[in-house]
Amino acid sequence: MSSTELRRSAELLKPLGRALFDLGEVSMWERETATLPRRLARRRRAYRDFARRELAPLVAGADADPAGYDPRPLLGAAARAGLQSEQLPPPWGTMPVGVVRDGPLFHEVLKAEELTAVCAGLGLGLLAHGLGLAPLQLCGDLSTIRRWLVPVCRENRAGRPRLAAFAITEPGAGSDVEDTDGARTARFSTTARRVRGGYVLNGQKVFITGGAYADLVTVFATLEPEEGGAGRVDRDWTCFVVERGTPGFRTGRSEHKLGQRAADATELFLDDVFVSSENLVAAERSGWAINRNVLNYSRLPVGAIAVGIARGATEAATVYCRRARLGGKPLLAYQEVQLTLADLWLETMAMRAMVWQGARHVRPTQGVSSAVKTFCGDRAVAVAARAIELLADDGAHVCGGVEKRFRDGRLNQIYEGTNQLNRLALVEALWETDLAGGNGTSI
Amino acid sequence: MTTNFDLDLLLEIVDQFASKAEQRLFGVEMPDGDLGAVRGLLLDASSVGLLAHPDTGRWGVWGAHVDSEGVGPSLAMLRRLGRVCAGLATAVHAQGLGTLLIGSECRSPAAPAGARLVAAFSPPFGVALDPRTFGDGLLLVDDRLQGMARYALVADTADLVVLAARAGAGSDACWVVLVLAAGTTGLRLEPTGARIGLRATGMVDVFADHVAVPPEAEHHRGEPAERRLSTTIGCDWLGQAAIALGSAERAVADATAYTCSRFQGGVTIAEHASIRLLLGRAEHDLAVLAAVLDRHEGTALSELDPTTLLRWGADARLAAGEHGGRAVTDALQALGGYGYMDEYGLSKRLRDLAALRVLHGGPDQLLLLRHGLPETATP
Repeated sequence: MSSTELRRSAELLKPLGRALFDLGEVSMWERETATLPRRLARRRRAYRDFARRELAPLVAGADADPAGYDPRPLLGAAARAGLQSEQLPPPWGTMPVGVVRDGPLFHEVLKAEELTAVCAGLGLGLLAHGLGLAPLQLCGDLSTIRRWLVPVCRENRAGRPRLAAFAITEPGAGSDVEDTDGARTARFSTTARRVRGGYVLNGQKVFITGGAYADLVTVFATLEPEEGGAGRVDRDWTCFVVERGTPGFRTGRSEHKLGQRAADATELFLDDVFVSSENLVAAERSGWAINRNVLNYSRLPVGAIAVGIARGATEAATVYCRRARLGGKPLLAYQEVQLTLADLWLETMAMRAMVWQGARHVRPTQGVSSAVKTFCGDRAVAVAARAIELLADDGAHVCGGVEKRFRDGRLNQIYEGTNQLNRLALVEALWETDLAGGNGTSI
Repeated sequence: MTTNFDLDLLLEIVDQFASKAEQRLFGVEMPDGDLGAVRGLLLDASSVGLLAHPDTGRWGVWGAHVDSEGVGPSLAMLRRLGRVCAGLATAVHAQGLGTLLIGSECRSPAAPAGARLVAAFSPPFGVALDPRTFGDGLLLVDDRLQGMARYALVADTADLVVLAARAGAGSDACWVVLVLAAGTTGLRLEPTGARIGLRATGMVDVFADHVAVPPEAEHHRGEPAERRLSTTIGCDWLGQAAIALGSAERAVADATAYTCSRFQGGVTIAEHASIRLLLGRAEHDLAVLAAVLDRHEGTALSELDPTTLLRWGADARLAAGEHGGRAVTDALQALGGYGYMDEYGLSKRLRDLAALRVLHGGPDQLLLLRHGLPETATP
């Protein structure tokens, strides 16, 4: 949008002055991609191309009729494209090289944004696989990794989709385990009992993304305490791998939900499910730590999902304002429209900056991850709501392309711990160092 | 009825209807209720007099009583209907808008008793009062109607289309209000397609392709037509705000009941500070919206300056979008994951409020229009 006069004026600058003045007409996406290391820039481009090619044709149908949507072809395509095996490096998986230097989650947040910019529901259906594998990846137990993670990554890398899901939430408890105080009193009913050769699990999980199709589920259960009595989440929680087809393990209904509808939210039932000792993830009673660290790692991609939703709303609103005409000129030509569009773009850019900064942490922490997840979740809803307002009556219609973003975005204020609990998680993370225990000058 | 106006009796009838509607709509678990029941419910609404008609003997929503009793009774009716289903309330409201635009002084045969009306007054991208946008709306030239009006609400089916159109050009341009049969040659009503909420009401775009307009179809011209249009738009926004308030009140009530029944940490979640803050703010938002709606509700419409009515309507709709919308989203948040599931009903209310936030004009359009209204003398 540089004027001819500005270019002419810039040409009069000394060579160094001209070199310091970027007047290139390059899209914001390209500019931001150019700031990434080359290997990540390549990934970002590949994720975007995959989303446009594979997800875009499915969006309308999967949102309108989630019960009739079969995710398996997309899961196959994602596996073949290397998107479902990035938990391990070659030769087992497709994790990018330089992951420690770049930040272990950087490629994940890039993937999350690109997929969900096209469709949050379809994107979530793919991303939930990584969440399902996260306990196996983060437990640090080589025998667990060899036994479970390596074969799953190998199968997916070979283009044979093998899906994982992550199961914490229960009918009577969920957000309790997002903070320490809640965990002490949380009433989780899924239990594990030691028996010869393994464990017997009983209980029910709800809202499990990918639960309807998962080949294996990482299930958190309270192991019966050594000393008897009721188990406590923060002392006795233990993670197990439960494979589809295990006797006593079955799926229930998939919920009808407001948005992100292409991703299922399914009930799981465990009735005297026997799993062998090999299905134990890491150590008995280490589930509380595994869970908390999974959340540290997962909330950054959830923040990136919010960026994708905001970007999708912003792009749809921009296309609309370019195409629609009023009084003989495009809506885009009106200043009041430009002001609102500017808000949409700048909010999305600020969200992305926060996510990328968070992803540069070598080990994601509770404070940073919770802050990113909360801020981006709230802003995504605000951006999508503003986009609806900008399109006015058309914004409320499916054809406007923004109402779905609003419905989708609303989930980001709820899952991975409600935003209220994530705010408390941030306070908990800051407590010793910056709030009660600090001198308040670190800011 | 207007001569012996009994608001308590009227609201009692509304409550009885609303109770029956809730059973019939939400007896099944579907995201928007049983939409197949809407037609029958509207017939019932008509039979008990809730659907207005340009006949002084009828008292329904936006019926002739507004001229003497003010808009309060209509707002109270819509608020109560909104508690059950914002979409159904909007369908009832739609019939009233047609009645308002025709005006109570117009009797049959223009609008025979029982006729279903659709009021079309919104050109693309805005409300008709914005002169800049009007060029894209309906134009009457040489007794021929041309152009389009979008997002016209319709209660189920339409027998008659009540249109606001611009006649003439330049300084001679003026408003006209026309009433045409829905089947008139060249007049086309097309459903607007899938939308986020208010699915129990119909919505159509009205296209006119050189429609011949006989003299008897014209009901108002010039200043009276402009007054009718202003009144209709003002009441449209007020009605939407009342529906939003009712829907939000129900959302907050449902969320409050839920939080008293769920336990975390040995106490009900209603005792958690985060929930108390959410519901406290939601209650405040309801109070603010109710206060905006109360501003002139007792003033007879005939005594309310159209500019004042428009400004009030814009304020109410803006407050509904901001405060009503936030009350519902906070109520939903109090339910956590369950709030997001269709089964608990909060997600539908959020969708309905999102639709009401932009119905017949987005917030920016309302702000611009409100700013452009002429100053009125302080009473």
